[in-house]
Amino acid sequence: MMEELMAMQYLALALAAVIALLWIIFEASRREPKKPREKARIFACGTEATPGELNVPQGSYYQYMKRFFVTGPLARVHSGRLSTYIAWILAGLAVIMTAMVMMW
Amino acid sequence: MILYSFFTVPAYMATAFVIILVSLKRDSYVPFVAITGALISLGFSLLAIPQVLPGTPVSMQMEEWVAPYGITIFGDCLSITLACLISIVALMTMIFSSSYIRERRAKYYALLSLLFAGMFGVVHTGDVFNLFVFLELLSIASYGLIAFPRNRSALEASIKYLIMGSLGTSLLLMGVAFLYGLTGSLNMADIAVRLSGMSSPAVAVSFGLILTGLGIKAGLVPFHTLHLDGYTAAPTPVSAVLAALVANIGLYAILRVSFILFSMPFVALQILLWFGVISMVLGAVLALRQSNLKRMLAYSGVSQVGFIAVSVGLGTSLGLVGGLFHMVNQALIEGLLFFCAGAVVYFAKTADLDKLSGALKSDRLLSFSFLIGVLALAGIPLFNGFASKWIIYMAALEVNPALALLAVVVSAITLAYGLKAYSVIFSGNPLGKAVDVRLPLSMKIPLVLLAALIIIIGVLPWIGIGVANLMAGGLDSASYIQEVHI
Repeated sequence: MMEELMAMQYLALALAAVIALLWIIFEASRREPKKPREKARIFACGTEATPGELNVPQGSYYQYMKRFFVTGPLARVHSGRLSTYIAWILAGLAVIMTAMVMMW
Repeated sequence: MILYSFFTVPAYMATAFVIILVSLKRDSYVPFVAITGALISLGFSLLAIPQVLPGTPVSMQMEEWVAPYGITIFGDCLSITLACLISIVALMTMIFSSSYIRERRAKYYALLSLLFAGMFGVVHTGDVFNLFVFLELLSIASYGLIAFPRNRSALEASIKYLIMGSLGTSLLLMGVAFLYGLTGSLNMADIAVRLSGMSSPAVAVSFGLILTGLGIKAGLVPFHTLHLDGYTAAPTPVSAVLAALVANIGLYAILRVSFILFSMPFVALQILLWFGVISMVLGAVLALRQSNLKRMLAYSGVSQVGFIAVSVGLGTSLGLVGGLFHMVNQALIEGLLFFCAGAVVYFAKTADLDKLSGALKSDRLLSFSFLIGVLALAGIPLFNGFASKWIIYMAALEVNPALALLAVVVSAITLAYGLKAYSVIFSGNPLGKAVDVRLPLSMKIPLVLLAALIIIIGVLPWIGIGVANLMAGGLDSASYIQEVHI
């Protein structure tokens, strides 16, 4: 098991070295002369767009998860209500005691 | 024999007392007193390593009263490793807090010192009633620390933590009372001897009550609700302590009681396994949809505790080693991530990921540390999380390949939400004027040290595996009883 673990480590080290090399090449190739100010402006549908308008709300990457059928009910039972939180604990106690009595 | 690491308990209690005295004269000296106390405690913990390193446990009796009449203090590789871990995270927390906490420092540091005293007490006690006492000490200190910001959400979270925490300790006390009624003893080794020939249903009831009480501290699903609001509302260095240590202290107590007192029955393994599976999946899925950085990390803590429980619940020696190794790794990773979150919140004044997009002018040390934490949490090779998760995958593969596959999928989900947070905070499009980040030295030290430990254990995993093997040896009931001389 130790040999397999170390093999994975060395493989990862080699991959990390390749990625680092590619990144250096990418960074070096990105250096280009500065664009004139007019060319640096961004237009959307004929009008100039501000950086704020071009933003994708990154904090909402996985917002579709909120529509996913499992996480909706799960989120409702994690809403911060103390009674719901205590219900979780009591449900756990009931499961443990039932298992203990039946399987001991 | 004197067990040096136990002196951490009086050292932290004395630190709390001295802090209050010093604050009467000059408040600005308080962090120095707290850091000195933490350094002394780290020294005591390190001194105990040679005492237990051959794998031999050490016990001592208070005031020369022999067991089971006197109070037993116990140390083996498991408890000393945890004592060292607590000492390191405690020192980092004291250092980090010196620039994070600017007002009412004496109360903050005194409560923090009592919290650590309780933790050291739990890992050293050989007595079930003192286990309850030390757990109560750390719980009461944590109620005060969560309420420390004194705003609406902190007070609400603290009251919830108090009610649910009290429920947990009450169940634990009921279980201890049952045990005392059955055996007439509170000494763990003595109880183990007396319970060995007993098959009364009352034993099962007492074990169930203790398991539930300690499960609430560990934060396993369905007891995870204790931690969610507390981690989010507490000052971030306190969240780091709660996430990195309190859950592990609960798990340690579960393992110690289950293995030593009850010889880890099959039903307890099954409970740990299935609660662990649910924790692992639920924690990761719910972390994915969070928009608050601290709450996301709180759910990730639930998921990582699930990994440990699954590994131990497999019931194999490889699984036990993997679980104990991941316990150490998880503490370092969660500590690092919460300290990074603390630095982010300190400068951006918010933990809301939607508002954090591009809110900070990227600081290389902060962004690298956060990335290291995320990659380690997801179990990417060359970081400590990979080594322990690899052992967990291997142990799961031996028992049930579907479990191993599920663990890999959960790790992938962990990477997804971790990278989401990283990309939002450190490469997000700015929504307004970005804040210039200049980390003070007191914030840099914990980030560098914890990140370095994560990489060192990741690159040299055999060190961690060796320590985990020794830790697993500490759960042998026979050697425990022999050492306490019952």
